[in-house]
Amino acid sequence: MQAAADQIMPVDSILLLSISIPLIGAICISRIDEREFTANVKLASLWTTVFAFIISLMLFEASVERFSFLTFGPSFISVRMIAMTTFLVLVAVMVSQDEINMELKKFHILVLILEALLIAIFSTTDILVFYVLLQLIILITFILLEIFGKDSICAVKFFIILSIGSLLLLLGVIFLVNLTEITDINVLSRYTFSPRQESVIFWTFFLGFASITALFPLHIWLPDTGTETPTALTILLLGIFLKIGTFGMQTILLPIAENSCVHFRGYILELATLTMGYATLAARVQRDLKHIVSYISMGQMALITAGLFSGNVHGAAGASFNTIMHSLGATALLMVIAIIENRVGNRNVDAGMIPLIPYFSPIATVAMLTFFSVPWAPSFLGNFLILSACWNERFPIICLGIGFIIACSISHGFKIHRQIFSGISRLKKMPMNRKELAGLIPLIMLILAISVYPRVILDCRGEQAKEKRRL
Amino acid sequence: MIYQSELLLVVYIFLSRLLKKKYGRQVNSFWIFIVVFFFLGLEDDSSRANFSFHSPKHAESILKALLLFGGCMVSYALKGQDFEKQTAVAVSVFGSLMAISARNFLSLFIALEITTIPLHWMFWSDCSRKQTAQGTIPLLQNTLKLVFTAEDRSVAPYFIFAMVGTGAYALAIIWMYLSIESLDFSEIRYSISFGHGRSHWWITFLMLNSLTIKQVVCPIYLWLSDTAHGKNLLITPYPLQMASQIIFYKLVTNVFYYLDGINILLTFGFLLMVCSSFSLIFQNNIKQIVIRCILSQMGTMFLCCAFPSHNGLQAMMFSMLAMIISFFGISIVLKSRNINTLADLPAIHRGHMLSAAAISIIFLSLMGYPPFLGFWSQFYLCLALMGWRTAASVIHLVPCVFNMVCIAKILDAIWFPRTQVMPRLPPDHVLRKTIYLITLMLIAIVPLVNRVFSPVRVESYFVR
Repeated sequence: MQAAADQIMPVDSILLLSISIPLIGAICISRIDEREFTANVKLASLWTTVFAFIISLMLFEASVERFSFLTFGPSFISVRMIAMTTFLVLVAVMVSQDEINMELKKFHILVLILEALLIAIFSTTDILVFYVLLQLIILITFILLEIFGKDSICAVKFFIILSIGSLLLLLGVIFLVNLTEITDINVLSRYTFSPRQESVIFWTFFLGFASITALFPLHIWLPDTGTETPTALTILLLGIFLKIGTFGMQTILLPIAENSCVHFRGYILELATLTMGYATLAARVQRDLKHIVSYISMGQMALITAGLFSGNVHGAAGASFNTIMHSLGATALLMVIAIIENRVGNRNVDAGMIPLIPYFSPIATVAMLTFFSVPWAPSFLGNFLILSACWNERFPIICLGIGFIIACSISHGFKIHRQIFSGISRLKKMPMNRKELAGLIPLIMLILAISVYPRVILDCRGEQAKEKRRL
Repeated sequence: MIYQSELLLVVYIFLSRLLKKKYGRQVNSFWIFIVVFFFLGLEDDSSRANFSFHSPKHAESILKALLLFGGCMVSYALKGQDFEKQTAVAVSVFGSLMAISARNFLSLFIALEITTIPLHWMFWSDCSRKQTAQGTIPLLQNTLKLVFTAEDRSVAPYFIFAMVGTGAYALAIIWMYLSIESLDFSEIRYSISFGHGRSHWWITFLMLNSLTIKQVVCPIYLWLSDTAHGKNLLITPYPLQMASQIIFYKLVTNVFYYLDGINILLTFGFLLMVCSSFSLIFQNNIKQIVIRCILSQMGTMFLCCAFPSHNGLQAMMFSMLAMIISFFGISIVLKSRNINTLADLPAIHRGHMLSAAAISIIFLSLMGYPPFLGFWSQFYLCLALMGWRTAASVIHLVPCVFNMVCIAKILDAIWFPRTQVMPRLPPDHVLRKTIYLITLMLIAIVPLVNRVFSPVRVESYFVR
């Protein structure tokens, strides 16, 4: 089957196509007259993202090859990340149809360029290209936040903190290039460095990625930026942008500085636990639902980091699984919040709206259960794997700490759920419109499908390890 | 044919003066630079061995091409202005070309003087017509008040330091001749590298310092930015400094490589980078921001001089390209749009998209943002520094943090204005648009070519 797929279209063509389709879409949109053909801009953007998503799905059947022109090549994890990116950009574009009405052309062009860059960064195997793409992604996200965010201070804060973080990353890249004169991640992962050299590589890369993943104390850009932006941008930020950090840790840091990761994992796990505790406590005192989602996302990212650094194959599998489930859960919940905000006019936890929207309760419940990783919800599988990995690797106190924090977070989720459901509304019955349903239902279906068949994103057979050996 | 480019320039200078005197016709020097630029490729290196001005390999041709590109831009800026200034630029570029080909210290001295004197004259004549700003060093200004009039005060320190630099350089040459009995680069390098290094340390120290003073790029010279007040950036000492920097690099890497004296360069480089980048944060005048960015790039070049390895050379080449292209590009944009402060920038993208994009990308490049030209200079320099001391490369990244703050401020002013008023700016004409596009392409595409195909491998006599 794989050979047949390769015969139809080789992997490098698929990858090139999935990177170039958003760029072509952006060029086409730039030629449309925004004032006269507003609907065309939206339609062109929507169809571009649909095509990009379909093309990215074809990568699932493609074999692991090196793209000859630039050093790009999809791996087990990157194929899933690319599919997730194209899907979430599609959802974000759908959400933006009613939400963004000013500077429409700019929004869609920038989002499509961002999509192309994100696909490129998830498929690159060159450490320098990764850094350059990351800087461009930061710049374009900053521009999006500046234009469409409510507070420009948040955008500047975002830009400066992440630029400082990426400078540390640059230092690490330069240190590696100076030592080896190689920028290929697969070749670098076979190098043996001295403990001191590995420590330098580890800390520069880790701090760089930690600023993107919003680990404590480098998280300060996240809560405000996640709140003061339109839902479409929040989806891109929480759903995709945060994942660049964990993706970098998984595909760059762990293979290159394996010994240091084992040596320093105690500190990282402690930091992750601290971040989770802080995020959960901060979320408890918030009333704005978007603030709560931002803080809980910060905690989830810390949990994923803990899974990655647990040094156990179950932990890594759980982290990969949670990376995608968190994106889907956060997106679904953000869409639910947008629906509430459209009807009530605010995003407070006691908005009390849901009983008045037909068919909304089950959808909102699935989204909330997935986001808060309630037991028997699909994302709880990832949490369980991470906890079991910590226990098996003899970190019982950290395991108990994380478990306790997860329990607190779940109880908070239940509390919010009860508050929203039992609130008293002053508004009339308002059903969901077609666009809202078109955005939410595929997402909920996908979440339910993954919960039935998690193997599609769960690396339970150690595919990554096999891939590494093959390379 | 030997010295084709230099000869063409001399012929142009005489013929243009003749035409002006006899028939009252004026030939713009812009075109002569274009012609010389193309003739540069036809030069024959092998027949130069017997001359004191000798150019061995391709690296010098690249440096000359850069200078001629700069000459084109200055001529373009002076288009329609008085004939004397255009001639001065031609003479200055001629001097710079000779300086690049120089093989001994005396010929270098003569060439540098040919380069600097017309520019001094041009700068002075431009300043004497306008009221200039006050300097930023109170003690120096108070002293100068006694000697100079208010109009000359801010430019006077520049001339004083230039004179001191020339004097010190002449003294260093005499001292060198008395102690080594030669002024030839190769002989001096031989003498320095085989056991007599320490005895010549003081001569080197004096030589390097005189050059830095002559170039007016030491960290203490941040006041020099005052000289750009109210003037076109192209008619300031900055283009001159760029030319001198190229010569300086050649000198250091060829002659003083084996001496400890180059540690001075590290100190100057770091101080210049950090001071100019830090002062960027507090600037609202766009010209001051450009000048500080240029000074920061010069700091980068000083550091590159201290590391004449392959990485140092790459960094130097990228830095020079970034500095020259960006400087001329931004100068033309600012002049044509009459932009002086950040307050003139808001909403420039409405109706002037190309100008806004040009300013943004040029600043991103100057401040070392990837993947533009300036970033690759910082990258290769950091690689070179990493090979020497890891801590040095960390310190080198400190100015980048200040630059990020400034970039955020500029982008914020250009693209996200708080006002809805459309800026009243003159429309772009085709030639200007073409220049913007060429500048943007050079800044954006050259580094891409570098990454995709192969690193810029300048087969150079710089690297031994």
